[in-house]
Amino acid sequence: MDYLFHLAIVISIYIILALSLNILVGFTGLFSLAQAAFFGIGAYASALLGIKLGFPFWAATAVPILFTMLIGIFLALITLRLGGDYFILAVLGFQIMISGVLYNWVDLTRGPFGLYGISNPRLFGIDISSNFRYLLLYGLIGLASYGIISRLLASPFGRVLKAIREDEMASQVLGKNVVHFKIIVFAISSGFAALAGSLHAHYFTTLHPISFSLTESILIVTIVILGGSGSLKGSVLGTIFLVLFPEALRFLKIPSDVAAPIQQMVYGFLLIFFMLFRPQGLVGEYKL
Amino acid sequence: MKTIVKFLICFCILVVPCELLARDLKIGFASCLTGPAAFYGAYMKKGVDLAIDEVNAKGGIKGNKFVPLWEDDKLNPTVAVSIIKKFISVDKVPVVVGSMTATALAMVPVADKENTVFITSLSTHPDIAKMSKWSFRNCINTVPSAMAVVDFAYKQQGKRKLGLLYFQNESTRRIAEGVKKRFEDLGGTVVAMEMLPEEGVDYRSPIIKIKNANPDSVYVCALARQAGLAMKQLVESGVQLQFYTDPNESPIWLETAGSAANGAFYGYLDIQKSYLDKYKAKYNEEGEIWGALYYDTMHTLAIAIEKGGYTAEGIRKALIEIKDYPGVTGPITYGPERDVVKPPIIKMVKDGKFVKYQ
Amino acid sequence: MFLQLVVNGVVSGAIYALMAVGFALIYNSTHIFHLAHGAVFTLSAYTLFFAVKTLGLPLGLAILTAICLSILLGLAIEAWGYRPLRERKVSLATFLISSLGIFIVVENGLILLFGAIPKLITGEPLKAYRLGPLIVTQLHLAVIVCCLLIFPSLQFFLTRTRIGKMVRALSDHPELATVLGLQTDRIYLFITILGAALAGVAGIFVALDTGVTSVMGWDAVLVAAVAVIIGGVGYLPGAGIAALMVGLIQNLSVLRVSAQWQGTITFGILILFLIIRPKGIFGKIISSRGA
Repeated sequence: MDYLFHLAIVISIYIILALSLNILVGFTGLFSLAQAAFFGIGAYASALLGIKLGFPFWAATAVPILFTMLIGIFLALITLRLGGDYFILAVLGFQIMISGVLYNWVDLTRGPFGLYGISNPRLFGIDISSNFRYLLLYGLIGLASYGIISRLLASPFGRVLKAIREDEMASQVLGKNVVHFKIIVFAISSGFAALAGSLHAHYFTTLHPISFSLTESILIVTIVILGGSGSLKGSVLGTIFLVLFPEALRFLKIPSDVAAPIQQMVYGFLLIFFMLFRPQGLVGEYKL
Repeated sequence: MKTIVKFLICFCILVVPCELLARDLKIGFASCLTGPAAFYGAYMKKGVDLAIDEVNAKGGIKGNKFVPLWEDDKLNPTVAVSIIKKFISVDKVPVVVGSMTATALAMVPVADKENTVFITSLSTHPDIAKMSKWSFRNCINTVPSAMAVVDFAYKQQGKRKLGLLYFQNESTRRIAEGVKKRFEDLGGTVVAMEMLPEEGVDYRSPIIKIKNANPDSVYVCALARQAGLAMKQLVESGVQLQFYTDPNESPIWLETAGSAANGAFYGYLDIQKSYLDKYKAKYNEEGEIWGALYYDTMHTLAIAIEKGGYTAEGIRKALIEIKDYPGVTGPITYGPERDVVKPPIIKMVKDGKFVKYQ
Repeated sequence: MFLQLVVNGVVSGAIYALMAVGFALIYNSTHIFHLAHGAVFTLSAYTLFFAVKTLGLPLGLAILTAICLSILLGLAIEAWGYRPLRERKVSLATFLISSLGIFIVVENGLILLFGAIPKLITGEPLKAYRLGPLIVTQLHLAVIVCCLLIFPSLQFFLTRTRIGKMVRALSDHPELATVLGLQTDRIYLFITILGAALAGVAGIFVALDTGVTSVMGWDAVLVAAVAVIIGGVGYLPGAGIAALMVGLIQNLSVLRVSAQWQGTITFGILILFLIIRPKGIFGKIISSRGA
């Protein structure tokens, strides 16, 4: 039972991550391979504020969100004027640089030696230490995130994003300041990623740069694409599937030293398969 | 007809309860089966499997056999936390066997919270066993081992200017800092200290800086494969000096370094020939230290389960009581510190073979 | 020390250049972000290992086998991976994800076949020659000699032969695809063969130098992509020269910072270029294609 809670907690965190990327990729058409970088910045900032400056949970979450949003805006300003592939590569470059910083700026992040001893959250005097409580809290935050993003996308703002995705030139001609919108989307996306980061840090209580590398970004992209870009429900479905899939593999009694590559191969085949036959994902509406 | 029925009933009454009574002794193993230290994961598994086969072949412990559950933690602390939670919550194991420091440090707090025994033979972090009353360690003490080598280098070999290469990893960095301090305390100078990045295998850049500083010897603090690569590239870069390294007596070190490893000194434990023979018979390759350590660890676990029962608290108490168990890596006593102390010896590579330094 | 770093940088850069030019050939003409290029690189390395260590073939034959298999994989990817997508007229992002999927499948397939533990072909330090204050290993010399043979040959092929000129035309002006019509499939095949062969050669050198790991392809293809962008899309030699520069900068940077920052520096340079001079050093006008 406890382990089921654990899985549900991980799913909650990743749903927020998937939603955050979906806003960018699925709804605005901006293909970003740097979501794990924002996830990591949020996680480390949150952890360090807690450990070094004794920030309480809510502050150690709110401040990194704002900080990461600023970084998101900064990245947007640099990369948005680049077209297509250049944009993708520049964002990828950003991801790799952030990974590099997390790994190598050992004095700040302890790099590959790992950052331990993050305290568990305390809210309104209640200690969140049992898996059940974590699930309640994170589940609520996840639901709230879904709600906020959902409303945002249903609003006029969201409609502009879809218009940009479908035909950027037309949107521009019709008077919408496309760049302006894209920057805002970047900010929102990175903010939610940072939220997920803080949740991650306070649940696992230890951080290691490997969790925020390009591989992780690819995983998040996979979730969004397979679930369906442009569909919030798709992101939820995609997350549940991809988090539970390794667990399911366990039941097949595959020898553990080949379980990892087999799992990865299945992901790879899924990507190829979906791009060939169902590029809009499971329930998506937008063909990438 | 009636006889058959009676026979079947007797059969059921006698045999089935015995089958039900024979419990699987499930143990959780979290190892780095993939990733930069995958070879250590492989060695760990070989040592563990050898021990488990032996125990099970003798009928197990009071009729119950070991059932090992293996998971790959990919040397990622987050994955390790998930794994140990699953072991405790789903498989309900009383003891989890872990591997290297990065993941062990993340797993011990979970074991502590859930009152489960955690034991490792690959982590050399000084505080691992101190972090929790549930945490045990049976491992070579790499820092004292490195100290012994440094003393040897300074006092017996007269080295005064050391070049220090260390791998970007918790344990190797700490060893390197210890080496630097000891060498300088003795009166020597560490002329250059460069890091080998965790990613990538081209070490020529840090090696050039070492070469440029003109040392008279080089200490390589790295895992077996990385140490091998470093030595190979040191020699290729023209650095033909006396090499010292960590307890890297593993086949992969020699496979990677080739003749570059010849003459290198390192701290080590004496492994009994009987173990090496058994290992060679089963796996058709040379045995090494990490497998041997886990072999001993598994046997001590078997003793603990026999004495204390298949429960976490029982195992914990029984492990502490183990005194001078004759392991293949030396006598084992966990004691109240839950940490086995092993005095190191100096060994060297001679013509592609590991020999004791006389 | 400085000179030695330059030599190391040139050798490093030469290997990057092999990857980069191969990547550029494919990217320039098809605009497919061919991540699977890294898989071809890795396959070549593993094949060499298998041929030498398991089959016991002599080195020359093993190298030939590795290159042949690289080309076969490249062709397979083009025929079964990209062509169906091209027929469906999917977007470039779809190609990228598909390529990523192929890369993951090949890389992990190799782990399944060979195990996760890194493999070595030469378990011995390579013979090194002293040239004054410099040390150059046999392999380094081989890399330099090979590149001095390969690149001019490639240049000759691209400028003097009919197919080569068509390849170059398509590579510099991908929009010609519609004009050349049926011809393009054949040209793509040629481009694939060339690109895969170059990746194969690069894989062989790295395998001989530092061994074979399952993750080696990732770094290789990313550096190639960076070099192509810095060098300027639409100009093949640009990719090679940029790759050489990356190799040099990576090695020389050690004079100022610790080696672990090399990856970060590479991409830092990339981003700098993208901000200041997106056309690349030699590039022409960027074609802005929607994501």
